[in-house]
Amino acid sequence: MTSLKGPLINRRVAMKGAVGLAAATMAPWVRAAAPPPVKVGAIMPSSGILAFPGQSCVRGIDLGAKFARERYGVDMTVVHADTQSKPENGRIAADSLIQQGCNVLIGAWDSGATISALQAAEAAKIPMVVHIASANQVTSQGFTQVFRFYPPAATIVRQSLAEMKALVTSVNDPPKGAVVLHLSNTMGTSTATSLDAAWKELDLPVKLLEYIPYDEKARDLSVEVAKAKASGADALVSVTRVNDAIMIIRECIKQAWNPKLIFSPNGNGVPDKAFYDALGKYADGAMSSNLWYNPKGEDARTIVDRFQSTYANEWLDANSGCAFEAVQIVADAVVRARSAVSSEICAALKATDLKPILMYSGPIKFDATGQNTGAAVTVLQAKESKPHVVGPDAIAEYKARYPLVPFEKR
Amino acid sequence: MLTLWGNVLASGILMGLVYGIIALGLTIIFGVIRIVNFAHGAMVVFGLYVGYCAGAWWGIPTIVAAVGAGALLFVFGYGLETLVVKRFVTRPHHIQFILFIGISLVLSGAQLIAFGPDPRPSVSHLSFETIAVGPIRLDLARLQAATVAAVMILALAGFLKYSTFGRFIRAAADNRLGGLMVGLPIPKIYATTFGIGAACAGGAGALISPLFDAQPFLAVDFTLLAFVTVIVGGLGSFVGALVGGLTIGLTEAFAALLFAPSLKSALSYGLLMIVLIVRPRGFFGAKET
Repeated sequence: MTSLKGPLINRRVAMKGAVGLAAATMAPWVRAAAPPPVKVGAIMPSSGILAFPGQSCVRGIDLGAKFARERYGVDMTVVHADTQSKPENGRIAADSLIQQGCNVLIGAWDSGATISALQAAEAAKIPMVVHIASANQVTSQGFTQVFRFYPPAATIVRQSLAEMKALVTSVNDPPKGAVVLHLSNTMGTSTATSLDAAWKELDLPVKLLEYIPYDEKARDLSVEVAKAKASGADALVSVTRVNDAIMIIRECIKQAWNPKLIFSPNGNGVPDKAFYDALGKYADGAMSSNLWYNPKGEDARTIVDRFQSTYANEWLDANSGCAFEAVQIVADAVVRARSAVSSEICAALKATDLKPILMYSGPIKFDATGQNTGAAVTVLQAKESKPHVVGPDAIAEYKARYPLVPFEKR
Repeated sequence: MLTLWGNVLASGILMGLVYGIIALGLTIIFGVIRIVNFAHGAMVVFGLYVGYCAGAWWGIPTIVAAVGAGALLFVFGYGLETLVVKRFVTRPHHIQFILFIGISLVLSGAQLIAFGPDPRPSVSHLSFETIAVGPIRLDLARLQAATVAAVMILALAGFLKYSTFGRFIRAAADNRLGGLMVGLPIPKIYATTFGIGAACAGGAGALISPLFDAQPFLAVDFTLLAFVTVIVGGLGSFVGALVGGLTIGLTEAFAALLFAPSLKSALSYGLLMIVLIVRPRGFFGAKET
């Protein structure tokens, strides 16, 4: 009860009050201070043989930057660089972007180009968020600046086969034998190797009959499909790019082969618009497991609609979706770092704990190697000329249809 | 097993004939003008786009699109020879190579600007159809391309043998200087021949549009494929183009069946090397004089 002996408000109390009042008044200003402008370099195969997915990624980056500006208030300038679909150009593109003052990089779709770009990023200590690239080497070579959103091939295959097992053990008359048609390039071979190991590990109740590798520049897959048919398999597992996925289905139709299940772990085709443009009703029923947007996500519908209104003739697919998410990862790090300095963004990226905005994934967190530990795949099935999520159950739009309707009855 | 072998044999023959038709234009131009058209693949891709557009936009059958593509490419080839190529006919080979690589890049760039990098798949019903002959299934698109290839070769052979202008072309192919001395219209003959070669490339492109998605980057693949085919069959020979195509088609098909499918290209290039060593002029190539 000091007030009884002296004044209620003395000089010290007044000073404390003033400081407290000032701090309280300033706090919202400090909290709401706009994040600093940041320059993001995006490395994609915008031309050349991989231009199709590369252009899709560019669309995802551009829309992602607009979204991040609105959501986080990040003044983000995006500078695009093209690898021309040549892995060795990854480093050249990264060097060029770094010289142009980019604070952080995103890229580069192809594993070879990504590793090449990471070498430049590592030398300049510029963090790089890898939106797509599945080779194990991306995060196993000791790079300190890598933050990979995409899961490695082995993880994708394992998760995919777990989903496939759940399907074949829940249906009547499951397939008895499977044949694997796969690309003979790095992606195809590494996926096939992972497939072999995961198949045994998960003890899938379908016998693996044969592996049929084919060249990525193959102009004709009639013999390969004839061999697959002759193997007696009633399930086709494929690891493809879009063009060969189309060729394989066409050959199945021409050779009157009707597998009960067509499933592509870590492959293209079902998620791509070109697949439906080429095959129409014959595309229906084919399945694949890929990273995909969460159709039940809070912002997914808004973002998909916005993408559609911006790019009327395109789809928001896995490529644009992963690129979009990578931009949000960068924006989140910039906001938390409150800095556009690369080393501070890198430190913030290491501490990332982000609920994904668009893609289906667990919380995005990077382990010591820079790998996102929450990465997860969805199972898609073609239905009425669109891919739909049929697994995992929590986000499924439909129950998977099995077996495939024979092609001649469509 | 017998069915598998029968289907592989049929597939190899039909694919081989398709390769033959792709190579036909290259061999005609070389046979008469003695220049190697490195822009051949880009012209085939041009035909592919015509086939794609005709089917997807106007629902025109592939065979009609092939006639249209042939006509368009004839005009283009005639004009190109008259305005550009004729200045290079007597110049060293390496300069001709650079010219045609340049033309190829310009054509591919134009296709890229016009259609973008995305593959444009055919919407033709032929992409999905086969004819069953007992247990063997024949691909209708390949069968159509192979039949048209045979008809084109017969028509060209008839034109060269029986028409006056055809005889002029043969004379110019035999001896350019002699032709000039007796007053043959060599510039017109060369322009027409180049036009016919380009028309064959364009027509072939449209005919194979149900088999290949149109994409600008295919040009290099088609040029390389046509080269392998005509070198095996013999540069300058129509029959050689077909036999070369058949050889490559069958080699690829049986390589895929007996060894590994991913070895297909390696074995067809291996065959090319053997032919270059054992019979450098190919199966039907003329002897150098």
